[in-house]
Amino acid sequence: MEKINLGVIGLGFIGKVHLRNCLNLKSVRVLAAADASKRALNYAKTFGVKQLFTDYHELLKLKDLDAVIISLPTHLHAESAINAMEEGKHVFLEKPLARNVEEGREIVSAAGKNGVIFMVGYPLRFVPEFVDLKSRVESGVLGDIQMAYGVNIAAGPFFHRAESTTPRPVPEWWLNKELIGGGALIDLGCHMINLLRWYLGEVSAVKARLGYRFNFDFEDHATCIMDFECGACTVVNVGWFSQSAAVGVELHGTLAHARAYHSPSSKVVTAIMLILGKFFIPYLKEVSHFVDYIRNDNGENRLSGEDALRDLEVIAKAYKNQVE
Amino acid sequence: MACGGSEDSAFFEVETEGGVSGKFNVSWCVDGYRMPEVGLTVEGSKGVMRVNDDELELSLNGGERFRWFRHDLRDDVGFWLGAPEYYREDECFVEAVLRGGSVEACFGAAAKVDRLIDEVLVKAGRVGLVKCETRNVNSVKEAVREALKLIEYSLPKTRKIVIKPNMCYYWDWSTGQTTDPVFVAALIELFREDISSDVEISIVESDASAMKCKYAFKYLGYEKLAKEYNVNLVNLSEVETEKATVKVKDEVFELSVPKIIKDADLRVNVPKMKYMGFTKISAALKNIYGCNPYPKKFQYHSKLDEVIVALNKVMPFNLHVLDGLTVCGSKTLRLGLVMASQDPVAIDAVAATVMGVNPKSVIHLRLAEKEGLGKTSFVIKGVNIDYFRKRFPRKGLSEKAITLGYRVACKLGLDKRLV
Repeated sequence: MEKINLGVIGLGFIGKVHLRNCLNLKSVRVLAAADASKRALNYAKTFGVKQLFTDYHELLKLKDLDAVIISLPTHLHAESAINAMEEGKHVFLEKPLARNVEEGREIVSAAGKNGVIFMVGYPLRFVPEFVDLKSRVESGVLGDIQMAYGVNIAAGPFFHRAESTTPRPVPEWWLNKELIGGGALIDLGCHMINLLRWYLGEVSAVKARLGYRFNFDFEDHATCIMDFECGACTVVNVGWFSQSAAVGVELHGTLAHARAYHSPSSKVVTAIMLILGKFFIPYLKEVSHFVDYIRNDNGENRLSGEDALRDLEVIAKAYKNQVE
Repeated sequence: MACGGSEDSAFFEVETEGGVSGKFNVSWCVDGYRMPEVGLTVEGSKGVMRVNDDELELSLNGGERFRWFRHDLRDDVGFWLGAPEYYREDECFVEAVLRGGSVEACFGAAAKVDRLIDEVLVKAGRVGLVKCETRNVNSVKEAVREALKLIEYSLPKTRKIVIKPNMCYYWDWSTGQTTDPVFVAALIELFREDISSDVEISIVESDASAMKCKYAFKYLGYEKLAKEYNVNLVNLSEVETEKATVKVKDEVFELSVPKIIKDADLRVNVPKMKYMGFTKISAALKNIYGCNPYPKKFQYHSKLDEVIVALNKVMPFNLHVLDGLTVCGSKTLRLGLVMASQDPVAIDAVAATVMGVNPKSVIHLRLAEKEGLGKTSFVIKGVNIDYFRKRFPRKGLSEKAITLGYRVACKLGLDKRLV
């Protein structure tokens, strides 16, 4: 099959990661990129992207374009994804699906109505340690899972940006509850809820305790207690307060227990990999999955919009059912 | 500890009329030294001579090296009680009395030494070092009070005080990168107790290339502190400023001085101590860089040393109280150090020494000294500097190599390939 013609909308940190990954995929031709910032577009130009737009609507008008990767701030997800779908483009959208359930439903519904493939970026589903855990759950070696623990703690918006030769401030939208739909719970919680649902099925009940160490109006850490329909009881801790990232899952079954932790490489290794163009492999794999799914149109959509919508529904309930 | 106001250790430099320069490092409280140790190094045009209590070593420029141990030096004296030098000086004195001649160790020579010591004490920056192992407002307040007493600083009767903490980024106090709000709270209480309960206090910071003040105040706990202690939080990037022209190293800088700083009766600098790629260290002088109201400070980085000195010249702070409760070196550590001085260069020289950096290798310190902002010579009052020097998490070779590698990568433009 021919190469997929792809456009990248939004060239922030993750957008640039996706762009560089797509340039490494043999089955992809990166036709265009769009971003409001000319500096970001210059970055794409450096890597040979020829068609550059400050308005993504112009990019969507390209007839040869098959699909887009959208990495815009959360409040722009619904509008941009629906616009792309209405133009008949397949869409890969960064997580979280949307800032609330209503917007999420509109996106999922637009994908169905326009008959396009729609996926939401959940790279943890492609991390080898977590994939291995999934196979252990399915094989039954752990027995019946009764309890589980998930953790995703990092610096979040307060990721250190000052050491670069061109320091950048934290984007304003990331510190605005209305624009992101919440705080650490929606931003990092969606990863862990998605992962635990992959292992354990649907959530039957949820409640949360939100924390405000840094005195913002959004939570910078949260604990989420979830009951699953399978009977498992789980706890998820998420936070934006640590300079050291920790992402992991522990599963306790009737036969055995297992844990998987995803440890990011050291700063030096990461920097070298970035310079060499070897980007975060799980991100490469998720985009590769999206492209392969478009090309073959069969197999399992491991990142479906419906799945992401259910994550968002759990998060909405967690915000509603807060405990002191 | 300081006793009766006398110093425990001192570091100073001298220069003779003939142009010979010398460095002195004296201390009577270095851990691990059970006996007094005296050492002298003389660097000449033909080589270097090192002498200590046990040996004399001579290294010539051609590569030849000679060593003499004490017993090689015919150290025999007529009577030995204590050390031979004591016998010799007594012998010299007796000989002089008997023969009526002059001696080298005369009253005139002793007076010259005393005059020199007096000059060192007058010129060297006094730095008070206090240990504070508990992180709470009362402990810190008492530690600062003691540090001020050690440097014989009395808080003046003022109405308006400006406090400049270090808020370089959204890094919690626990990282050791930013001034602990508990430390600032302790200062506020101290000023209200020792100056006046109705003194007007403002905590100031400015927007930076990667940091916005409004978020930093919130994130770092200063908004909460301001409410609790009824003090003002001021973003210097949003206040009235006055233009000021200042000359540093034959270069003229035009800078904006926030009026609130200019009008303050007492300006208190509350820096951290940390390594910094561009300037080697960041402490008191570098913290004033944050008083530059212009947000895109990154643009000054090509002349960072000069700009730091220029800003300190146009906005001189009266008092520097360094928050070393938690420090960030090669790793973060609860060091429990409180340091105070009126001399920003001296306090930075002490900070550099604690961090294992030669103060003279720090360009902005040398420049600041040359511009008359203070002295890299210092006299320590209080806890021995070695207590903190041994504990500070210094950068190892690997960390230095990483920093160097990163700087080389930036020079080659590889950082632009980063996302």
